[in-house]
Amino acid sequence: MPANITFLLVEGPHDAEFMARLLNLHGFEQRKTVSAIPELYRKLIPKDYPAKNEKGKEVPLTDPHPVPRFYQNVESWIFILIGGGSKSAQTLAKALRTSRIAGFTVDAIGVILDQDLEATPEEARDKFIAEFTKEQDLPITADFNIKPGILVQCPPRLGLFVLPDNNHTGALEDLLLECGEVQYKALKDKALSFRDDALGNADLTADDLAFYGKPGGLKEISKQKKAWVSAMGAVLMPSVAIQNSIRENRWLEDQALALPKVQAVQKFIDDLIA
Amino acid sequence: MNLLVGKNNSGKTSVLEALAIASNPTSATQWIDVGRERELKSARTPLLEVLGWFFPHDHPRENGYDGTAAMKVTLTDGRAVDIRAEYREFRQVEMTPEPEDGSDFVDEEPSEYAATLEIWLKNDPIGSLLEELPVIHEFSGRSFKDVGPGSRLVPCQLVTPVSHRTSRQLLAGIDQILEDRMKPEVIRLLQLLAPDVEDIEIRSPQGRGAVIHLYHSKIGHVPLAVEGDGMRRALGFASACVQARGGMLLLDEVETALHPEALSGVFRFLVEICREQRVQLFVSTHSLEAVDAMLASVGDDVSDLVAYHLPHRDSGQDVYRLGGESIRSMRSEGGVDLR
Repeated sequence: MPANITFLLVEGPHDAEFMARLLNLHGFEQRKTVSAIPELYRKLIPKDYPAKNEKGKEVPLTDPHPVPRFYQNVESWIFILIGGGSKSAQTLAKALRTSRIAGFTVDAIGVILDQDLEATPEEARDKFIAEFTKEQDLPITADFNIKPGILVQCPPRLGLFVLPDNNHTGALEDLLLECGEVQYKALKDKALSFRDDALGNADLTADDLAFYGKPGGLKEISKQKKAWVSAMGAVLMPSVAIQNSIRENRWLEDQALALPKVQAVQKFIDDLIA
Repeated sequence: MNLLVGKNNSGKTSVLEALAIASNPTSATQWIDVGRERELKSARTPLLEVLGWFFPHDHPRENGYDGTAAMKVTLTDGRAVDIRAEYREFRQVEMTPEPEDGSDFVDEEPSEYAATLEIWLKNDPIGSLLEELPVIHEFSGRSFKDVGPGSRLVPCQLVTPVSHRTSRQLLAGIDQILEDRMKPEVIRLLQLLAPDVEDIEIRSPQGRGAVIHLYHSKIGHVPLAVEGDGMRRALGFASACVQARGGMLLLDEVETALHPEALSGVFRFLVEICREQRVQLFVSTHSLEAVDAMLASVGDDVSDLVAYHLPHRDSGQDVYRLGGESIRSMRSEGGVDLR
């Protein structure tokens, strides 16, 4: 019997690791080498390095190579596709076309968006749909005009989840800070003081703070949350990106798994791969 | 610009052959010429084997073979032409007269197969055929009777991976290139492979026959037959393209004999010359370098480019068509394998 195949599209590597932790609860393990991935699915692995962009121009050698993450349990495979911003729809479309060429059927598609600077989850969804409908030659009909968080059985089974909980403006950092509150309470509080002290430090010039955008703006709020999480990660796993800490530390263990927002994501994943 | 991709045995060559036949479907010579392009002259498959395998086979071929094939061709002016062909093999028995001396009589000589090929053409734009009557060609094991010149719908040239080893079409094409004063463009193409090539000439060494020569600045005149496969193949493309003017150029396994680094230049030439000559290009390939070279050669406007992925014939899947934008997207960001 062919394995169940799910495409799970996320916006960045840290989202991918967060979802992977939830997948681990279902017995999914990452397959990291080409030889561990069945021939049928290997077409999803990019062939060229250095990569070229849409216009055929070279992408810098320093840019990350867009390789999906492959996860397997006893009866299913989940391929986590990392998009990001306007590339998300294109990344999913490309994977769907590739599945058609490779000759395997996709049973479910989950799209995890965030809405750092968006007003509502519906707007984040609509922005994704606007990009996705531009894509041509798709082998399946996938209409994502559905309520965020709700799955439809088409097939393929389709669902779209807007972080942090399909209701509030935010991103993965909002979930991580809630997890941090129950898993690393003292560290979280110290990291907040550190961040605020550091950002208020007169040593920092306007150029140093340009990354945060206009003071009081949405971008600044979003970046400050990221700085807060990163400050915690800098202690838990120094010198590496936050996704490593998400994978290796206790962010998504014990009481964190009982948090309503985490449970909402978990339910979405459960229903998607059911 | 049409790309045909898919694994071995998915039928890419069959599609090109079907297109080549459809360009002049009622000509027996066209059928045979297309079949003969599969191999070198020295390895010729018997005539009926060549013909019979144009038709679908769903069981082992025993005691003769019958087959039917149909195709609908829509021309760019909107006219649709229906082509239907029926092929029938039968035993041709030669009777030996009964011996007068009353000795043992064997009433049949060992027989050989013969065949008929009947072709119906509906909505023939040239109007050369009666609607309800087929053209009937007869084939024996060694010869055939071609009734009439055929009904050429569009000019067409098929270039197979072995075409460059024969000079059947090449001479006529080079002649056309010289007549059309296209020599400078073709020399530039050849210089991509051998920078010291300066000229193409048809010469008659020792006053016998016409032989294509290339002039190299370092070593002088060199007969084409001793040039490398890449040079012969590139020249074959140019030659076939001018002969396909206003029609179709079919290149099977385009990357054969060409170094991947030369593909970009060769494709740029092909795209340019095909646009100039109003030729629709069909290319089959197993090479991602060829796909990328094709993409690069069409520039920013990919609307003229399309790819057809042919699934394995037992997969139960249909052919999958990808437009230029989709091909570009598939090959960007590390490029997935669309073969």
